[in-house]
Amino acid sequence: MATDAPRRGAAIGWYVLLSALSLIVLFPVWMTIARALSDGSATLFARTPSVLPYSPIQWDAFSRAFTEGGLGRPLLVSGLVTLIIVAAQTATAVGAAYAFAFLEFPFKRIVMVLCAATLLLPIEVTLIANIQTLQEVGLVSPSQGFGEAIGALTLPFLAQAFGIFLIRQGFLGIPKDLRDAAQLDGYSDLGFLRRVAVPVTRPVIGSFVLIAFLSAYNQYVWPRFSVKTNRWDTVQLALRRFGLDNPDQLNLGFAAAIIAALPVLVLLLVFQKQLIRGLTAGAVK
Amino acid sequence: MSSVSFDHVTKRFGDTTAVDDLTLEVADREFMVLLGPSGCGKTTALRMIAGLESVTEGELRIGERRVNDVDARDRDISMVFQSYALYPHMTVRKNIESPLVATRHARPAAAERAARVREAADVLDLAPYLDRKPGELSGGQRQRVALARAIVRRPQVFLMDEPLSNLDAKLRTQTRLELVELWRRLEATFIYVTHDQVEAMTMASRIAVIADGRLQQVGPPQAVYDRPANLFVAGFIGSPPMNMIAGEVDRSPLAGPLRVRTAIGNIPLPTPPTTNLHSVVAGIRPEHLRLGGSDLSVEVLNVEQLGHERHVICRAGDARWVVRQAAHEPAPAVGERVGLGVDGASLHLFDPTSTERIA
Ligand SMILES: Nc1ncnc2c1ncn2[C@@H]1O[C@H](COP(=O)(O)OP(=O)(O)O)[C@@H](O)[C@H]1O
Ligand SMILES: [Mg+2]
Repeated sequence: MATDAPRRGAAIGWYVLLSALSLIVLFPVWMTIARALSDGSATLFARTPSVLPYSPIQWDAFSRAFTEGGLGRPLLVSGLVTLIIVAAQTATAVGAAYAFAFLEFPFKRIVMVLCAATLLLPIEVTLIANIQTLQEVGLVSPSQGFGEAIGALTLPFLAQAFGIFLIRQGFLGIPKDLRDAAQLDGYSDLGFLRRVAVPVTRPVIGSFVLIAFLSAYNQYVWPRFSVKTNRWDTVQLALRRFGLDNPDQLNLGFAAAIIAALPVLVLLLVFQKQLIRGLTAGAVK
Repeated sequence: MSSVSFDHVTKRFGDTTAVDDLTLEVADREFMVLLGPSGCGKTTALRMIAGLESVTEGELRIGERRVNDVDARDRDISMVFQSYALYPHMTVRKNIESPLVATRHARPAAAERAARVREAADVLDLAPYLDRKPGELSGGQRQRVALARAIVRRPQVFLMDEPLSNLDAKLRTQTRLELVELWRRLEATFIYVTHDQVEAMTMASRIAVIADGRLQQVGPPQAVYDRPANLFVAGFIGSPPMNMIAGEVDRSPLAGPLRVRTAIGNIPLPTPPTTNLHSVVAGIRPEHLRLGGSDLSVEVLNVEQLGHERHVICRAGDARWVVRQAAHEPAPAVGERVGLGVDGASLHLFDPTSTERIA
């Protein structure tokens, strides 16, 4: 029993640490919920700030935020943009990853290095140049229509290096024998990709889809510059506008933020295992 | 069905010569075993037949067709991998069906495919497992799925790379028999790679012994066992291995009968060797030594009981020798000096410099 004591001590230590970290991570989330449920002026004029919602609790905050904030259309725009980006990124990443992992072509190494180099560029670096390009082709303008706005929101993100390298790593984990067996069975490159490589690396590809979804949906900087009319606001833009337009209705802004975060939250809850597995893929082995 | 021939085939990986000037004819419907120690180039030879590895020099033919530049998919061969290489996400049924689906030649209709999967599964007793994934099978079952996948396309040639090495000893023995039965039933050409001489001896129509990428000897198992072409083959084939000792052929008329003089005694020669070499290496299989003889003298180091027989391990000069003894004979004591009798007719002589067999 005595020998168990240090181990138990260590376990307790870990729990304390993890609990503290969870608290730090979750506290802002809780505060957002608490503020969403409190009357705006009550929050502003409270003498001592509280971590609990102030009464009277505003149960209707969410429905009001949705209608008054006009979140319906931005949600649709965001949904469509996210869908296009995720689908395109997944397709291009799988294709390029396959080429990098299994095919031989001239300048392969250089192409890969260039590709990896783009990982080092934050979006801010290319922002101005990209906006200018899109302005020149007419996708970014105050009179942009639906198609142009969707184009401007998605075009720069149809292919992205991170996914290529993540999925390539997954492909490289496929045993060589399996590839050889597939070659003898008669699979073409495309057949092998479709029937073997993708199904076998599904966990990795699945995680990439999730990660791509999160980053596409949560974009703010790029939409901020590429959408020139409120009509095609994404959810994140709508949130900002809603906050600016209703400084007195503080809680509705918080409620809208929670609505906007809902799709992400659901996705994370449903796929959390997959996400963690994908993020650690390639770390083991 | 088809023959396979290597015509002065060499394979290099950079500076490594994996297969060195290999010339070998595998006859139609033959069970050819490529036997050799790890790293000797067996797998590389097999992969060249499969088309998974290019040929650096020489010509490779399947049947009459030169296949050096023929794509793996178009060679009409099946291969069973050491790792089985089953598709983990597919059921057993899909795995077996895979070569019929993936082919870029005329793909059989669904009903025909199902019938052939069924047939292959029946041959290998896999019918109850068709809807399982490979991960839910035992090692032996996986191995049979790999075999079923190989036979379903009815190829000209089957290639197998150490297919039994991941099975436990008992299953290996049983599967050896099943493989030979499969070979008889399919009437196909089998080319089978192994480092295990027992597998080679028990299954092969002919064995090709390879060392360092070079072919050492080809022949039926018994012929290779009875007349090993060189010291390598002599030492590699046979378990326990052949006992060896350096000696001199004694030709002086005064010395009496013709014999090989060694550090532990003299071995009589029934007929003069067809060489005028003086120094030789003498080899004697454990079953050709008789305890209680008077030709050689050795010290008993250990006695290994195997039930049906006994291995007596002896110190013979600098070497360890093994004497095979029937279980009912009296066992020598450990530490005892014993005499050994040698039947000169079963003696093997090798040239110590070239390592080749003498006569
Ligand atoms: N793809 C390769 N690249 C470089 N060297 C290789 C490759 N495949 C095999 N070799 C080398 O060729 C030799 C023979 O290998 P292999 O055919 O696998 O031997 P075996 O199957 O008899 O164990 C070894 O020295 C091995 O290191
Ligand atoms: Mg090998």
